[in-house]
Amino acid sequence: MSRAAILGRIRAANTTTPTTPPATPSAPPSLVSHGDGAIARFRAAAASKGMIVVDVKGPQMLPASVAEALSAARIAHGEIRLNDAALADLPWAEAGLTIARGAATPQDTLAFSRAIAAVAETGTLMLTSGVENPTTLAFLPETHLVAIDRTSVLGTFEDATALLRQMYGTQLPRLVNFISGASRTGDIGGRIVHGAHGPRQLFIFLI
Amino acid sequence: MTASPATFRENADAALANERLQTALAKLPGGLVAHRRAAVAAVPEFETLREEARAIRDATLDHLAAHLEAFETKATAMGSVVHWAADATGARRVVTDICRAANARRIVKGKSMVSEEIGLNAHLEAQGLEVIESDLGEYIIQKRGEAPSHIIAPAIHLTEADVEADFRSYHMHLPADRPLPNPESLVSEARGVLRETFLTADVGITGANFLVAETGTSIIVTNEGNGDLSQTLPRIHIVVATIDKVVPTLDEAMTLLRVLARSATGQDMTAYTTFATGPRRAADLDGPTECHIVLVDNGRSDMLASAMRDALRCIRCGACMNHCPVYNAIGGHAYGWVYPGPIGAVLTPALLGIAGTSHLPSASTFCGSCEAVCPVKIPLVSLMRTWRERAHEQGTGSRTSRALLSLWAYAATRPALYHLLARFGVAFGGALSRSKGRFSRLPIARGWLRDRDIPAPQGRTFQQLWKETERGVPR
Repeated sequence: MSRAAILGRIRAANTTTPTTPPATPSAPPSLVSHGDGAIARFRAAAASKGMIVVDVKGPQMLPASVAEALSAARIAHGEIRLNDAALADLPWAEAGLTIARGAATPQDTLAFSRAIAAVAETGTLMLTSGVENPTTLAFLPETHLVAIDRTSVLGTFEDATALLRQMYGTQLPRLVNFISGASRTGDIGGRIVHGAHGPRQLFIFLI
Repeated sequence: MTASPATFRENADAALANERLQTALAKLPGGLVAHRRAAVAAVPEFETLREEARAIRDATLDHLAAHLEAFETKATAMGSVVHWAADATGARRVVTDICRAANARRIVKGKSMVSEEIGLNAHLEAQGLEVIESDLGEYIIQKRGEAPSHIIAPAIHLTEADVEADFRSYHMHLPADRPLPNPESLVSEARGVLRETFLTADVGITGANFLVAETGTSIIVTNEGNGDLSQTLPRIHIVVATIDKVVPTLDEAMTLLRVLARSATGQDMTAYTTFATGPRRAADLDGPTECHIVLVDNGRSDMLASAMRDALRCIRCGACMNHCPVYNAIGGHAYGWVYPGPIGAVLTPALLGIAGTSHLPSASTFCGSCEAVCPVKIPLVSLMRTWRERAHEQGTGSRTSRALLSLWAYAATRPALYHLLARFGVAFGGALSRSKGRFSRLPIARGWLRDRDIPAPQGRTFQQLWKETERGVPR
């Protein structure tokens, strides 16, 4: 009943507007460059938001890089929660780290996700939810670790939507998370504090 | 809510005299305003983006019914349940029914202005449900029993000391002598308390910054991650959004996102921008099993048919209030309802009626700062002027101001009389104050002159001076 009434009122209000929708306005392209320029821009933008960007030569080197980065930040080498099959197969034990599979639990302090892309313009990571990337990994633990391939760094958000359409058509996963830094708030006295509800620190491993 | 738009003058007087509020408000120019300036300066194409954002919103509103139907179809196909609510009562009923059907007891909320507008919390609590705001600012003011004083920074009227005192009185389960020396310690304490809430809530309610017809997606833009926890941990997710939030495709959403955060907090992107589509999938390890989307009209379709149509372009960034000298002086509570600042001065009369709200559009110098920063170019000044005209036509406003306006209108539409009166006024005024060149006392402007003098007329009117100049200039 409400539905018909609302749509009826909208149509009555719009009798003078053009009957066919105009062509989608084209957004001005962002002035961010692609390619190598994009990786430099991404690195700078992510760092400016307090994220720690670590270069990793190849996937096999990832566990050692993680151990080193955690030590450098004085973060205890606790169990790392992850559920990405490829990540799970890496030599974690050799680096002195332990992992646990599954979604994050309230007790987890470290979690590892894989980003499907990143946007250089703003240093933003793009994660999609699914069995290998449970959303809780990105929000419950205090430290969030994210792996991304150098080849997945895109220039702009227009590139990101194009990739989403290419991968999923119009059937998106439950969540697409654009993450641009650790959780933060300015609600107390106007000062920015990290770790409001989600992670206090965010590490990006650029493979 | 204690204040109301009808008592705006008294609210404003109290706000000006409130030293703690003034301390809190003094941070605005160096905070949100300075951050926006820097963010905009870093994007050379920002002006083009604003124009594009305006065009997107206009084009969407022109075909709103079709986009809403497309959104409903796609969202339903993706597993969400779409509900329609014509007004606040209907929206509250829909949400209550969903919670009842799920045997819910505890509800955690992400930040949502429409839920403030429809009085959702009070209603749910009256039904015996527990409702907890999880945005830190909203949590603080919910405990105080206050309304948000800003649409994106709800506790901006409070200082760190206020929050410390509040936390000591609310969190009685914690040691009374614990140190809370800085914002970090206060945030940490709230994180602990609210984490427990997220884990035990049955229902998570969020708003939506945008709804995308192409994919049946709701988008939230946050910094804390509370909205994300609200739509991931509880078994039921309810999105409450007004019908004007829909955009056709992901591309339009992206363009609007590019101006939203920069205009709001001066960030190029907030920490979290999240596209949510439907409930958890069969293979997912987390996420709600039900996703409901409540499309609320509550006056929007009437606005679409009214002179206030352009205000529906608003994407709720808050830049207009951050840059408003009136908001900066009195804060948000003085406006007496959910939406403060210039956009509030336009929306409140549209949603509640001009009777009882006419002070709001009158409380502007029409300086135009709001329009200059609005990311979707809403003509806020002319919309406020329209409300002033309506108020005059409908006979609201004080008798004195109405009488003076009528007198002025009588003279202003009779040029000969107007010039005569102007000449008399200028000559008389000039003679009266010749010794000082300014007035510090006038019978009808006592309030204005309390803190300042007004320059006296210098003996001749503009028209007289113009004629003399014209005569003096050889052709």
